[in-house]
Amino acid sequence: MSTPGIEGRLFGAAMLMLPGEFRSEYGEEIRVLARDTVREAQSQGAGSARSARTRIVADLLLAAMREHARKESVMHFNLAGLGAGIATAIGLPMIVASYSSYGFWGLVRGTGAVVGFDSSDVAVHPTIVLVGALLTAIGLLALVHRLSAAAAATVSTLRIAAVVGCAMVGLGGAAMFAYALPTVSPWRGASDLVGSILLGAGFLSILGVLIAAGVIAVRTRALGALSFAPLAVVGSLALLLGVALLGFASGVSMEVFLRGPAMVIAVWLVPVTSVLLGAGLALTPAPSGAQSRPREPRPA
Amino acid sequence: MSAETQPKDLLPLTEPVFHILLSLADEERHGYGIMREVRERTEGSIVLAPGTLYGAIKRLRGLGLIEEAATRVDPELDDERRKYYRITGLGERVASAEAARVAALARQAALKRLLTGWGEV
Repeated sequence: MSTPGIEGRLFGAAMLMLPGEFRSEYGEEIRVLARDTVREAQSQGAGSARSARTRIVADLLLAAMREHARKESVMHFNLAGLGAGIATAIGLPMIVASYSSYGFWGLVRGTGAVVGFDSSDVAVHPTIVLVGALLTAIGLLALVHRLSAAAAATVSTLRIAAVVGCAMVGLGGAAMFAYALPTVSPWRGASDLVGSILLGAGFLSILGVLIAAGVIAVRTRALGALSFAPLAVVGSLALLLGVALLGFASGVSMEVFLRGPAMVIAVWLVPVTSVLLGAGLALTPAPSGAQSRPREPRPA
Repeated sequence: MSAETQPKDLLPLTEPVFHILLSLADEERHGYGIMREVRERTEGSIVLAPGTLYGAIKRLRGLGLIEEAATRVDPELDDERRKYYRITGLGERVASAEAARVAALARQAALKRLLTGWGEV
């Protein structure tokens, strides 16, 4: 497909969507065949050539999806992964919910009410942090456990960072609980300071683990087709942080800003990407766990 | 592909796969040659686009039903060097088994008068 223009660019983009291995083996042949097909169609008129180009691009997109799906045949549902997946999907959003009373806070409050939580209770936020930190630790450890291609030292470092980071967030929540108590204590100010430091440092540690594990996962396809999910979570958290900082800097009333569309989208992206990461864990067996089921040989 | 694999283990074939095997049954062809032959033989009702064609070729090669023949110049086209593919013994047996399967189905349909003018009833 030598003709430049939008169709040529679409063809190039569709080619890029094919799995690298498939592209390197058949990419040149596909280009030649596409070129010959379009050349032949051109002899029947411009409309025919345009139709041929469109059909080729659509077919390549479908082929890209098919080839990726076949390539990820190791992905299948596993019960241990499901537990870790649910923990991840819930844990990270819970930590974010503990920072903010907006976004999906209504959902958190409603869920808490079902189990008898009074959302006005000072213990609610710290409890959410503690549970969120525990669930996040389970999820991060499961993620790191799937990085079998990484060096042992890297895996150990990530495990330690995940546990320490989540522990810091949990302890930060506990310290904030001491701060939130109505009783006047000389340690109140110190609790606030320590809580803030622990929450901030723990959050950064979790972010660091997600970045490192995300890069390794993408390189080694550790989570199959969902290997991008850890970095998607990082992106959503970074966006949330960026939007929040922009809100502080803009001088707009925080009440107005936090309820604005930018913040709502940023907040909701965290649970969405966390669910993706959870799905990645649920669909990818741990290296020492369930093995992939052998597939029946079928031509297509 | 294990030695015990029987042609019936690979059935049914998808339409593109069956047509690719049919196309290679009588001679070695490159991708464009397969696409043209299938289109002409089916009077334009099956047109294999590049992604579908090479996805099927990859799987057929993986299963040992076809293999790469050689890279050479097609005198009808330009000087582009193309990869030619040929059917293997297993590929021929699988194509025959698929044809027999489809024929048996057609025979059943004819017996129920759902297919007129086909074979001996």
